[in-house]
Amino acid sequence: MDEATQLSLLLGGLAAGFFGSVHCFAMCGGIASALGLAAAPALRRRGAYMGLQLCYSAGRIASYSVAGALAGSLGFFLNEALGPKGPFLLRILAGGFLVALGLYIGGWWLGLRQLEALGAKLWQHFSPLVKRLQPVNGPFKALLIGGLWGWLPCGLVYSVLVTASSAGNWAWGALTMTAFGVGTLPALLITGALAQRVSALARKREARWAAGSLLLLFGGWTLVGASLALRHACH
Amino acid sequence: MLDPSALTPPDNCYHCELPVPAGDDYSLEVDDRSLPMCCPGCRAVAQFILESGLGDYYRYRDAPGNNPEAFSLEMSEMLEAVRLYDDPEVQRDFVRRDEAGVDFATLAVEGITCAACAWLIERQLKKCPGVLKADTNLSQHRVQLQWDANQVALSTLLQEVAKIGYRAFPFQPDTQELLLREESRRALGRLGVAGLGMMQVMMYAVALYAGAFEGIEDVYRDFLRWVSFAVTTPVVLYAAQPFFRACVRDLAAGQLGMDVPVSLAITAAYLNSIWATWFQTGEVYYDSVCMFVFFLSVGRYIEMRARHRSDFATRTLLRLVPEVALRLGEGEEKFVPVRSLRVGDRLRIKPGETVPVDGVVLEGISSVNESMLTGEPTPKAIGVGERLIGGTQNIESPLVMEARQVGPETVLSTIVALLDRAQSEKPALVGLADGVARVFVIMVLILAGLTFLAWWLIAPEKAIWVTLSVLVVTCPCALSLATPAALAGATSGLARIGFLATRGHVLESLAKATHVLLDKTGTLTKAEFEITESISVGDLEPSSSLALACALESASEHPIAKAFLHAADSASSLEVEERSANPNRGVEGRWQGRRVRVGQPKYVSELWQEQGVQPPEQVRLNRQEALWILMGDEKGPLAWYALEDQLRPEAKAFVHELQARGLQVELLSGDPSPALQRVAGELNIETARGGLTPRDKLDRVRALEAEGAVVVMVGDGVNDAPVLAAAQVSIAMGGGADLAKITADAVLLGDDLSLLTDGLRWAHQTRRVIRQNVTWALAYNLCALPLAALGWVAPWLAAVGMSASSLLVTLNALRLHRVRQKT
Repeated sequence: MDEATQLSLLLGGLAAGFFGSVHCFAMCGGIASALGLAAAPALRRRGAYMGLQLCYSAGRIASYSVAGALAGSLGFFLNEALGPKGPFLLRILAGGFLVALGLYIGGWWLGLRQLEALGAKLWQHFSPLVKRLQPVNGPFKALLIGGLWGWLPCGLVYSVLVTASSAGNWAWGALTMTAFGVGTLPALLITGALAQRVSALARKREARWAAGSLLLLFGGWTLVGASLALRHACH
Repeated sequence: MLDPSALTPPDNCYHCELPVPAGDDYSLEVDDRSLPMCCPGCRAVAQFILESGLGDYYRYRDAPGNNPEAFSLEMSEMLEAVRLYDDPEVQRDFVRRDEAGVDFATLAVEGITCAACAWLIERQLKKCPGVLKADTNLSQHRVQLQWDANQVALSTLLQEVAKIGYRAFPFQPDTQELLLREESRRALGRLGVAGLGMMQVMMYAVALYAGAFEGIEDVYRDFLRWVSFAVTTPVVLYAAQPFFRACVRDLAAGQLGMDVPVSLAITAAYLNSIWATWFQTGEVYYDSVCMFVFFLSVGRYIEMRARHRSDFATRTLLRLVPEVALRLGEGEEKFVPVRSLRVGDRLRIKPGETVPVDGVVLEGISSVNESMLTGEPTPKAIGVGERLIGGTQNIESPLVMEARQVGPETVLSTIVALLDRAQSEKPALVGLADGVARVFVIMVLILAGLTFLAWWLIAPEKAIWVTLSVLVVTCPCALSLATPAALAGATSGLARIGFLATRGHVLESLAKATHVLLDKTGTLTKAEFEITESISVGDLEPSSSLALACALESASEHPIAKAFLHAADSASSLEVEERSANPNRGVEGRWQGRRVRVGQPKYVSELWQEQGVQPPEQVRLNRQEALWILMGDEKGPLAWYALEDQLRPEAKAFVHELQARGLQVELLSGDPSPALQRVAGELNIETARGGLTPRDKLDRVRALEAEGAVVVMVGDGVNDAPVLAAAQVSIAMGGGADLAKITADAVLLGDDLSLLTDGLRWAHQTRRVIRQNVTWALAYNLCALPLAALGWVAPWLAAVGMSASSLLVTLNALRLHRVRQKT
């Protein structure tokens, strides 16, 4: 894998996380605040609160990384199965998913929800665990809950996972997803402090359109780049 | 309990509040209710939250209606919300109506950043028919509004302000505080984004600089640039937003504020960097952009904190008032909200509690602490019939009071309203500074243009960053802040010690004063009698005759009786029977079988049927203005007492300090009595005129001002209003009473003359600080400009210099918050 591909994986993950955050503000921002309420009173003080949110997010990002490693391994086997064209086909698929994500965030086409419905089935196995971890009275439990949170059905995560699988090995898959998680950090950490204002902004149609358009561009770029490279490779 | 589902419009997702796409059904069944959900994700999340027992989150989230956020909803919803403010019951809290039917209110406005905003809002409001006056207070973000409710509704005015992009609320302490907190929180958020961005980008910048020396592969260089771009973007789009907004507003209003060059610099540097990144050529300035935004935000943040501080100082006054009061009804006591109190309500105030409204004492004797109003730390003794001011603290024993003034009529509310007025008036000094800053901005823009042109011809590769440095380094923030920050700080600092400036020009004029005219003797005296001489002429020891007089007078409320009570060391233990008061003449009683009287000599001497009794000759000559009181029994006189109105203890030092400052002190009195000359002599006042009519006093003020004098007139503020109004600065000895009627430019709440000298001292100090600030700002800009234009100042250094300069000015002004009272 050349440097440009690695770079585009990391940047792609980071950008998807960052711009996809518009989605997060509305959805995961709510969890962040709700989990804030779940904590033992001692942890809700100002200083501790940020630490608590960091623990939740660290757990969540760890889950993403694990999922990324799984996706990367899956990509490895797909590459083996598809032969030399494999990496390009996967990248085209990833570009397609990014486009779908852009459409989803912008609110133009909601196809990714079918995927979320599938994810919701997976989530059913995790959700009972959440109750057992209440109340959150220390960083360890916060990490665990954050880890569970990572498996909530989310179209955003799924489309980036496809990108991660296009890396074709577990390490880069995990890295891509970690970058994605880091990209979501500012949004989720800010929500604690500025929840009202930011979610009001995120609810604005224009904000979602802008973020959706950026992701569309990104997906388009991946698609075109991968298609060109595929044609090049076929010659 | 609030029903959570009521908080979200029915068609929106219960969790993320985005609209639910038509034809989809992911709704979640909880406790027989169907919660709408937009997608499987939200459904799972909501289930996760509800099942974890965190349903409270939805309730605490953002309940529309009880939170200012409601106003950022769509316009139509906002209009609905502001209509509430037309309800007279709601208006009672913040609207004051005068005799002519004109309504007065203070609006808190969010989003004012500069003089242009203030101007825009005023213009928009004044366009509306029925608006009589709209004064914007830039440093406190408030608008003083006067309007005719018959012509225009308050809600219409609020909407007008909303139309041009500002959010206005009737000012109520709670709303205002919420807004301040919100503003502060958002500013902190911006600061955080800018700070984090700056740290990240500087790291990359170091790598890039190092790379430039050691040879970096283009791929890595471009990667670092792209990452810098990604980090800088939120800094520019989010953290720098206030500057852009202010800039757009300035330009829309046809003005050039300080945010214009700032925005220009940020935009130019950012776009130029994107260009360089995209085409992989030239220089990037992501680090400079982030630093500039960060340092500017730091400066603004500190300035905002300073402003909030003077605001909170005023606000603290209103917070003194408790939320509930114990109202006495027919046979029952009930806690009621202070807002629902009416004039005439009877209230019980326990020791340690705060008096909720203004009124008079019906039952009980206690002492109250008025230090929050007057700065006077010693508690004041208080008894039946005496005045209680809301916000003061009852110390010793329970009192029952009757409410006389409630809501906006109370002394506290009046003080806050007067302070607001003072701060909203733009003194000539501030106008001058604004004008200078405006000219300065134009100069900066022209010079920046010239610099760019020159460098473009000489060394085009440097033109961009040199111009950036010029724009950044000369930002006239410090210049615009210098004066208003100092005035706001001094006004609120003085208010805290009991010197209440009610007009904007007070500090400026006080610093220029040449004459202090004291209107009437009462200004210098305590206006209460004191026993200055006592002579025993009968068979009683002096101490026991005084005790007897006190015992006789103890039931009376007359000022003369008070003089005796003050003179006695302790409450008299003498048993006096059959005590009866004879109004305006004296008191009679039976003590040890003797009929005793104290009072007017004529009334007392009736006991032994003698006429024309006189006090002993030698003492009488010494105290010609004294009021002589006689005590006697059926056999003859027992004791004489001379009662006199005493000079205030601080009067001598007061006059001395004024004279030491080079001020001419004159005493103008309507009283023809010789007391005037005695007082003047005792205080070393050369010019003292007695028996003057108000007309004479007015002529004197006019004559002095015609000679070019700046006259400070000190009076009681109520009876001498026309004379006070004629003087450049009028100062009333307020003492808390009748504050609403006082028309003076400043009020001494502490009823202590030394407050006036404090005010004078502080006015000079303020002038000094303003001069320092303006000098510094101008000198800095004049020095920095050529250096930057010559290309000796890198953009990041320019950002540091500019911020340090405005920080210095703000901190210097902050010193004025702390008025050191001379002891």
